[in-house]
Amino acid sequence: MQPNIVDNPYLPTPVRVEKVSFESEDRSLKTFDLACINPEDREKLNFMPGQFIELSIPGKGESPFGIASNPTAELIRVTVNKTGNVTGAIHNLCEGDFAGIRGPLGNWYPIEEMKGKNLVIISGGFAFTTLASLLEFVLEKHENEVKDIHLIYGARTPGMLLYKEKLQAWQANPRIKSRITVDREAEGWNGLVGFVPTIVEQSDITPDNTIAVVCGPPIMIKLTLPKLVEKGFAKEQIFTSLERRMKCGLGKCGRCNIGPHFVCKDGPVFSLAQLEGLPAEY
Amino acid sequence: MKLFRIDQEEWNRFLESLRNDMEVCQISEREHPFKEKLLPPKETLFYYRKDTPKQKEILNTKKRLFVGLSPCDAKTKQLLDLNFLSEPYPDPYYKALRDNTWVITKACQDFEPYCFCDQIGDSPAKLNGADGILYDLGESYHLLLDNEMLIQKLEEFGKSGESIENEDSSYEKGKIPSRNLAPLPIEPLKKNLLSQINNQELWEQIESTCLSCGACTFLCPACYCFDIQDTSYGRAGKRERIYDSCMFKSYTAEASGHNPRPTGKERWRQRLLHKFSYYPTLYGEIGCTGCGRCIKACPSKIDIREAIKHAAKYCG
Repeated sequence: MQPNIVDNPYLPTPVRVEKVSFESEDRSLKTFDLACINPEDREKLNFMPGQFIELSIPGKGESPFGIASNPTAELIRVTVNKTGNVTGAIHNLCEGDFAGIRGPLGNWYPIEEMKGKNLVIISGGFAFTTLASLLEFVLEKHENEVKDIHLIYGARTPGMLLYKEKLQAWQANPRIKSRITVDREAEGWNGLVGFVPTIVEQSDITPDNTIAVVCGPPIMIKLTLPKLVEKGFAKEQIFTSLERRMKCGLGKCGRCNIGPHFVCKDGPVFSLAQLEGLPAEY
Repeated sequence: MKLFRIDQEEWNRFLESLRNDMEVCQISEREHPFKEKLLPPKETLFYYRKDTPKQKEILNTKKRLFVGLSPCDAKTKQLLDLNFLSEPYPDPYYKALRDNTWVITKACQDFEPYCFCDQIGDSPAKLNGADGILYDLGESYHLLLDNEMLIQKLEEFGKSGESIENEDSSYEKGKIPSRNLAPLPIEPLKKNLLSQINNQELWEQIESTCLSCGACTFLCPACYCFDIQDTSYGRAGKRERIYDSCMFKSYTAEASGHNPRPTGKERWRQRLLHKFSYYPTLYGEIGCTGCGRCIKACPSKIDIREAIKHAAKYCG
């Protein structure tokens, strides 16, 4: 499965909002499931886990979002945090409304490299989106090729955890060693309590034949990476997905570069080794 | 490549004859960079309606010939091509404009006070990828054409030219200005500027008087960064791209409030690195033509030649 490239990459593909749901208890996050208005367009949007789209609202503009759905699913799923003009307009979308999407854009998680190895997924907050896509895809397509799967995922409160139904299924799945954590004790929460870096430190993950994928808020990444290094992970074994302000998503408009690499075109997925020696502008 | 001898009256008549097939624009001023013709300051990408998913893309394919610009400005096309035609997403809007644009430059007879193409290894008489170049011989011109369509048109017009191996072949080029200025130390920047990313002192000294106005980047023939914005009129509207600048704080500011380039230091670092490190790394060319517009326009009198020399001191 390889992602597609369209003729005029600035022209959004029309989609219809099939389903809208609040994703977090504070109502700052909404999940949108999108269907192509012209069914033949779906193939053009074939993507790999880790890639993103520009979601476009005519008259408001566009913003980039990592794709949260399994690439094999019919609907394209994004989870949107309401922070600015465009995300505000997206939050106003109702079922049946139309919007546009451009993509798939960017590179994807190194799935080929994961074969025959252990996979460690570490995430915090709502950066879990593309990792949920990765986990679903690996379980469906490569379950027998990937060895041990670890999932370490944390949020401030139980109500801020994403995709709760899927999380429950993954926790019950014997193929996954999952550690779901919240920052503080909460009523009705029987799971782990503690910050992601601490949980990583206490876990039994080892660097032997392992790939680690880390996505989360900058502070979580900053504190988690040293824990992985302490455990002996090499910079080539650690991958992260970066976020930057973007416009074109095509490596043309200039703003999202880190050194000579564009986060939109050459990323968003980078190994730590690739980022070494470049301005830490992320 | 063919060389023609043509007098001024014939030349004007030839241009007139071309107007049946294309728009012919004579450029005599140097104030505005030629990039505005290939990457307009404001360009419509498509029209949309808010009540239907239909949209209409706008590709500009009008044939245009630009005559008389400086040889350094021809380089704009070469430098913008590197970004806009690069895979995997060749830019359809840029491609439509540039594929229908021809350029005949005029060799400079004098340096302007701020020009420095001769200090970055170029010359005011180079072709730089243009379709032709005029050399002023006083009463007449030598016209070197490097484009089959234009050669054919001129031959149909009744002129016959002499085949030339390359632009460096020996033929009369009229007055070509020269002066003995030391080349700017570009090589050390290409090799080592990236190693200076955390050199606070260097970036502070370079940007200390910068107002972040962006005049330098708007006028730079090699700067192309843009923003994409929607403009609506009731239910209809258009999506446009407009110039943006790495010198603006808002350029990288994120909705969350985070800004990866929060001060002038990071922004100047980006500008200098982009031109003299990233562009050479990606494409083998520096993102500078030596036109000097950024020096002329800067309200704080920041001189990129000085910035290059200053940075080179740290680059070994």
